[in-house]
Amino acid sequence: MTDTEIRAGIAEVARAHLGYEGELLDDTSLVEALRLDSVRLLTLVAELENHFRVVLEDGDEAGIEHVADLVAVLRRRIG
Amino acid sequence: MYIATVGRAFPPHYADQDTLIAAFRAAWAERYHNVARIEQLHRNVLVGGRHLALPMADYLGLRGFTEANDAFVRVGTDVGAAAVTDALTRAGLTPQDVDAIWFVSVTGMSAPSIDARLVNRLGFRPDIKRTPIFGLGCVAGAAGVARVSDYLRGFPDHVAILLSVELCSLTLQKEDLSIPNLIASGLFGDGAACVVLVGEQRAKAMGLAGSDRPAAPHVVVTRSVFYPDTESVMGWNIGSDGFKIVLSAEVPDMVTRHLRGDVDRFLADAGLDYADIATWIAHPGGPKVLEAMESVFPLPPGALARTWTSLREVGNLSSASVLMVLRETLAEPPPPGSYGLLIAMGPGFCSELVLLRW
Repeated sequence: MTDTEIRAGIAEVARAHLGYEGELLDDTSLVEALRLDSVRLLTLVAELENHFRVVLEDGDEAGIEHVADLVAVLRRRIG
Repeated sequence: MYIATVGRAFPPHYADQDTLIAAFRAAWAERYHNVARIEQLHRNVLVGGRHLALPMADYLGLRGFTEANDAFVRVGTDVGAAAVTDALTRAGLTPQDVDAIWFVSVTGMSAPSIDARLVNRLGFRPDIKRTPIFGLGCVAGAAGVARVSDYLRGFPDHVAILLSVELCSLTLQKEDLSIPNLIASGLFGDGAACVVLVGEQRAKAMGLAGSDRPAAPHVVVTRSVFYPDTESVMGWNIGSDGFKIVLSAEVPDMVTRHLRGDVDRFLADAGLDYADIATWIAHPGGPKVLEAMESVFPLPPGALARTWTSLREVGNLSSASVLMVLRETLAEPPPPGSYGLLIAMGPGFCSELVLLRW
């Protein structure tokens, strides 16, 4: 799966489950753009796991600030 | 405005959290790839088990709001009657002694309301004043104590009861596996609590007040605080399927952002400081709410122990929960002359503060 496809998958999850209609660029701040509080963050994580059929582990979230960081983590988990 | 007793009742069915998780697991696995994450979510609420209005198997057969609400009326009347009977018996009173009843719930509806059904069931006097309240949610236990004490200032020889019946399990949305609904399905339980409050004259006649060492706490002062433009923090979306939870992560933020300042002002206006509060009677909203309280208030160690215990043993019972904590506090009261702070928050968003003195 390419980074473009992963980014598109993130956008699809954000739109369907968090109501985010904007554009997600590599340098978009996830917390700000998606208004990630603890409930919305858990929703995002669980729905990304559904969408990409992966399991995100404890520690995966470390260092994730922007869309590009999340793409990198998902790329690693997708394998 | 003395608090004579608190009674309680639970429906007869009980399930520990592991049993509930096992029952939910199949449905979660159809919806979530990483079902372990959802199981952990249910464990993170630190609830050990919950009483249930119905046997577990019966929930699968509930078809829509009508059947769930029918069960609310039937079971709610039963547990409400049991809680009232427990409270009045403890106070040495009968239904004929009761001048006014406040009924609070946010987990089912009926007209006539549950309190009216209890007039017939328990034999209250025909001139009993009834005030059913729907919609205050978790804050209704504290708000109810405050409103009843307001009433008793005007009728100091009266006996009034506050009855809370919350059957949260009947609001289960089987088809809604969103994270907020999953949190709710892990956190909330079923139960009923009834507080007997009496006016000052009546308290003296009952031996609850007027001596050097009163046997019951009295309500010193109360305060309601409404937070403008916070309607989306918590509540219900009510539709043909019943009550669907609205629950944002802002609830703990309400404690941090508002509650500390509210309590600061409340105590200062009463001429008190935190060191004067011997006992805290806090609504067990959930781990994050309680952790927020422990971080913002200068609490002595174990100040919220009864609240944590209540959460662990029976879950969040919405408006009934703080009354359960009050019941445990009455059983182990602080020394005479001590102050206690009864505190809860709920949809609005809002808080209710009740200063008690033993």
